[in-house]
Amino acid sequence: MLENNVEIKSSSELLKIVQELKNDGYRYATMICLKANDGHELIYVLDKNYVLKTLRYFVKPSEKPKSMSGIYLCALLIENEYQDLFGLTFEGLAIDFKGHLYLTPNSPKTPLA
Amino acid sequence: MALAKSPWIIHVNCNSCNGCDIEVLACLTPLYDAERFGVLNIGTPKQADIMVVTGSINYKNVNVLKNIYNQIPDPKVVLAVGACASTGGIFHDCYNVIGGVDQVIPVDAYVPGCCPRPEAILDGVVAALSVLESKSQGKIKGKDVKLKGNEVPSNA
Amino acid sequence: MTTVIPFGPQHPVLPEPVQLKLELDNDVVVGALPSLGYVHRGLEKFIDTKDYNQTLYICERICGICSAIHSITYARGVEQLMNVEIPERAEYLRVIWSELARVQSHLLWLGLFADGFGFESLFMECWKYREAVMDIMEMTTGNRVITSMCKVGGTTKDLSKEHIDIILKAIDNLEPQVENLEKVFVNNYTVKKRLVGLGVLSKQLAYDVGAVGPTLRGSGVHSDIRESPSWSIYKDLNFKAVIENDGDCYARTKVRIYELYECFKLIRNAISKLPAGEISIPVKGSPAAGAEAISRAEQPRGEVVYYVKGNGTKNLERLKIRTPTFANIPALLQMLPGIKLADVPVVVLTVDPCISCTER
Repeated sequence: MLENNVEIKSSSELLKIVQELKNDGYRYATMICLKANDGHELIYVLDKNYVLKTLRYFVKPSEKPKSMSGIYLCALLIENEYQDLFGLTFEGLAIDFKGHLYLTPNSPKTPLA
Repeated sequence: MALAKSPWIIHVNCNSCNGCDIEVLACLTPLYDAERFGVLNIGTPKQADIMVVTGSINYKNVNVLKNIYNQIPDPKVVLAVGACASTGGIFHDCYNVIGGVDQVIPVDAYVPGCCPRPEAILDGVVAALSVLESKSQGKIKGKDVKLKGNEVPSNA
Repeated sequence: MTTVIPFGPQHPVLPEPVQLKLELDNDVVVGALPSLGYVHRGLEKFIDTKDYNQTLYICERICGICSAIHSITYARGVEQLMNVEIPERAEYLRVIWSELARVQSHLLWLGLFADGFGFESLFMECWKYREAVMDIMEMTTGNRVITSMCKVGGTTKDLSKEHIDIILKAIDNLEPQVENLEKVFVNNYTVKKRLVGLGVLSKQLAYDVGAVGPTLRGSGVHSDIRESPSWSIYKDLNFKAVIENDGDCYARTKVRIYELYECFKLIRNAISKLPAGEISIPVKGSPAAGAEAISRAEQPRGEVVYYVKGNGTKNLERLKIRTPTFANIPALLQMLPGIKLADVPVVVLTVDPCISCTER
């Protein structure tokens, strides 16, 4: 099990907590996407002084998760990656590659989904 | 004969893990010193004679590879360095990998290994030289490669 | 009026294919947009067909330059999943090999960087010295680049007394050579002219955009995973992170040069404390369903994050790798605006881009 794990229910709560953590001096490490119960589970990994904090958020099958790129600009690459690989759609991405960060129109679609 | 005494190479990295690339570069540096065969690494395809390709091809870089190959003047020789460039290697069944370089452009010599040692790469370059020489004498021209089929990205 | 100029994918200073679409106003960059995917293979999908031991060899081939530390970080993740304690000697051996890998990677980068600003003899010099480390790698593991010295549960190779003597001797030779390089990189008028004040990344910005490794430490942020509690072994070896405060290309270069001395110190200390005993323990069974772990390590290019999740079989449920260059690309995009087109290759090289890591 991961340490400092927080389960988050709604996307507005998620944005609020991430903003608070940023003000608290946390650095955005990465986000992990997993398949879970038809939907997807997102694990936000943040780091401060070598201690990780993980936020878990469950994305329902047709839900469009909110992008973190407004808070942490660096989130845009990983979110674009999951648009490619899992076919998710993030709302409010700072730079949206529309599912073509890695893949061309000819490559296999959403290979990890 | 003169061409084989001073072949200029262009190094094209397709889908490589860097392992072969750094060994290709290591060939050019003092310990292995490919320059004693007159080999010079050159940045532009228009001046190159030997195309050294590392890594397999995927759906995005296939077009880059084709463009560079078509720009090299005749006679030209293609050397596939490493397992990935030869057959796709350990990555051959990845979803985004099409396969070895010979799926798209004609390859004249292969260097096996993951990663091949610099000595093996030099050996490959020397083997390519004789191919280059015979192409030069027979006035054999490389075909103008065109992409067709599944590997062509539709926005290309 | 701005012009968009594509930089890459095939470019003389870029060893790897990546494209930056540079928006230029006359000669000055005003914006940059990356275009990735030229090296995307899709390695995270491999876990469906390969078991957790085989996946280690896939992780090694994510990148040829940082291959040693990729495999160590992956192995540590899986060991955490399965609650495996590896022998102490294996911990020390892993440190020795990962620091040797860092030495060769930094020398490689210094060479490429010198070539990037047009100092070709310096490039040759760096790569000449690097061959000493490659010879050690070949002697101790059997291969120069992809070393396969690590496995889940320890290491596959051991260092004999003769190996250790040769390593120590090689480092004693290498250190004065690096001092020579340092004189050129740090004091040379021409080199300074190209690097000082170029591509400045402020401390706050570097932290906010999530930069890692020498890019972050060059901006004055004290962050090195080798100091974290999960790597207690580095503390025993008297490790100190190298920090520079200016945040420009010159500072990032200095971080890497001074890190070389730190690597030599770590290798010497690790060898002097190297305990006797087993080098690996047998690992049986498979990771439990739902068990998950995050493992981190400091690569030559910065912090790498591995996430592994088991599902009760030999195959993993999910493997996610956040590589250092992936985190440094947003930082690079912040550095580029305001600099001249002719300086773009130098700035791009200072984050030590490793595209095959980034795209996997």
